[in-house]
Amino acid sequence: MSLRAALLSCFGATVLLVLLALGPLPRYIPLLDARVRAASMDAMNDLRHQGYWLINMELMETNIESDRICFTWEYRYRNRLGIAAPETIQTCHEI
Amino acid sequence: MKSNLKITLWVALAFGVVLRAVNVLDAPVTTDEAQFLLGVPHSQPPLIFWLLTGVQWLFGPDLMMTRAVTVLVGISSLALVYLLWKELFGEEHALLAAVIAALVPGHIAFSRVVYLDVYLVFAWLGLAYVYVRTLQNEKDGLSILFLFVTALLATFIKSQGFMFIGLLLLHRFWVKRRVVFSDPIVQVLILALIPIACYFVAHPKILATSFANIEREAFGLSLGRLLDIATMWWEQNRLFTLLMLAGVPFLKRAGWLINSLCLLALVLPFLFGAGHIYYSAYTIAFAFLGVFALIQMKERVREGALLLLGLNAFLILGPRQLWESPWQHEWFRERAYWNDNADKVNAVLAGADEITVVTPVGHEARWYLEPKIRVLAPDALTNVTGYIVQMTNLSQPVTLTGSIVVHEDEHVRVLFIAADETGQAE
Repeated sequence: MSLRAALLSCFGATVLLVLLALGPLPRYIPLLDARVRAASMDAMNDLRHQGYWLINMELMETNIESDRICFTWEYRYRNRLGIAAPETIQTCHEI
Repeated sequence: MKSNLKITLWVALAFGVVLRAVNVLDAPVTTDEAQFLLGVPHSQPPLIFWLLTGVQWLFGPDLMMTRAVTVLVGISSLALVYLLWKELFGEEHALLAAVIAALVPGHIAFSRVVYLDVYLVFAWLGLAYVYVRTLQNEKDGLSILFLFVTALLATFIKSQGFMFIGLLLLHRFWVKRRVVFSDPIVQVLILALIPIACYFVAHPKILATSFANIEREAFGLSLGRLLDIATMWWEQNRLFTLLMLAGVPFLKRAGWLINSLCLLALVLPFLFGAGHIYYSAYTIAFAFLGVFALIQMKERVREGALLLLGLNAFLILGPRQLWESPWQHEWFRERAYWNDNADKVNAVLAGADEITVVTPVGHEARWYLEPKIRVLAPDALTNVTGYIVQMTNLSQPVTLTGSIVVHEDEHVRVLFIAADETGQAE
C-alpha cells in the first residue's frame, strides 16, 4: 500500500467517524444556554428523587418556553437480563 | 542465557499467567465493574462496552465469561511487553521483561475483573510496539495505516486513552521540529485524536465526569498527593514497589516511550485520585525499568530478586485455597457474598416486576438483582409498596409501617409492604 493511499484512508475513516461521533450533538446544543443548564440540574434531581438511574437516562429534546423549560428523556432500564422497553419521561421547570 | 535461568524464567512467566486466572469469581462486582458489564458508559467511550455486550450476547450474562475476556487481555499484554522490549532493546532480556511484568500484582488483580484499565494498558503497549515498528519504515503505507488504527482504538477504550498519543506527538514534535507537519506519523496520530475529541464534545457526560473528578481530587503538586500514590502502590504491589524505585535511575536509558508509559502510571492517579486502586494496573510499565535494575545484579542476586517478586505476587494474589496470607488482596480473601447468593435473594423477589432498593447503593444492584429497580433514599420511601431491599448500612435498618421482613442476613435485608399499606418511614 502506498503512503498516499494510507493517508487518504486514514483521512476518510476520520471524517466518517467524526460524523458518527457528532450524531447526538444537536440534543445537547441547548445546554449552551445557562438557563437550560440550571434547569437541567433541577431535572436530574427530580428524576433522581423519583428513583430513576440517571445512567439509563438519555436527553432527547429540550423545549424552551416563555416561562419554563421542558426536557424529554428516554429511560431504558438495563440489568443483567437485558434492556427494558424505552420509557419517555418529561420534566418541566420554571425559569 | 544459561538454560537453567531460561527454565526459571519460563516457570516464573507461567506462574504469572496462572495467577491471572485463579479465583476469578471471588471479587465482588463493584459499582464501576457493573457499569462496564451492563454496557452503559457513564464517563467512558464505548469500545469495550460493545465488546462486553457482544460476549454476553454470545455466552449469556455470565460473570465468568466476561471476566475471562479480561484475563485473556491481561495475559496477552505480557506478550506485548516481550515484543516491545525486543524491538527497543534486543532479544536478550525480553523474556525477563515479560516475567517481571507477569509478576506485577496491580496488573494481575485487575486482569481478573472487568475494569477498562487492563484493556487500556494492552492498547498502549500495542500502540508503543506499532509505533516503534513504524519508525523503522516511516514511508510504508501499511505501517502508517496500522499505526492509525491502533491509536484510534486506544482512544476509544477509556477517556484517558488519548494521553499516550499526546506524549507520542510530543516526542515526534521534538524529533522532527521544523518538518513536523509533513511527517506522516504526526499526521495519522493527529487524525486518530479527532474522532474521540468529537465524541467528547457530543457526549458531555464524559467531560463533566472527568472534570468533576479532577476538581474533587486535584489540589496541586503536593507531597500529600505523592504520598497517597506511594501508599496505594505499596498496598497494591508491595515488594514490586521497591523494584519500581530501583528502576528510576535507568529512566534515561529506557528512552521516551517507556518514560511516557511510566509517567502516565504516575499522572493518572495524580489527576484522578490515588483512591482509585485500578490505576495500579499501569505500574506494569515499570517492569521495563525493573529489567535494567535486575541486569545490573549478579546472576544469583537476580534470581533471588525474581524469587522475591514471585513470592510477593503469591502472597498478594495466590489462590486463597492454598494459603491466606496477611497481604492477600482484599477482593480475594473470600468469595464475595453476592457472587454466590444473588440467586437466593432473587428467589425471594421472584414474581416482582419492580422493587425498591435503598440508597446508598451502586450499580452492582442492577447486576445482581433481577427485577427492575427503583433506587430511593431512606427518607423518600413514602407510599412505597412491594419489595424494599437494603444492601448497605444494615446497622441502621430501614423500618416502615405495615412492612414485614421476608429475608434478612448479614448482607441484605428484604422488606415487603402490601399494596393496601401506606409504607411510611418510621
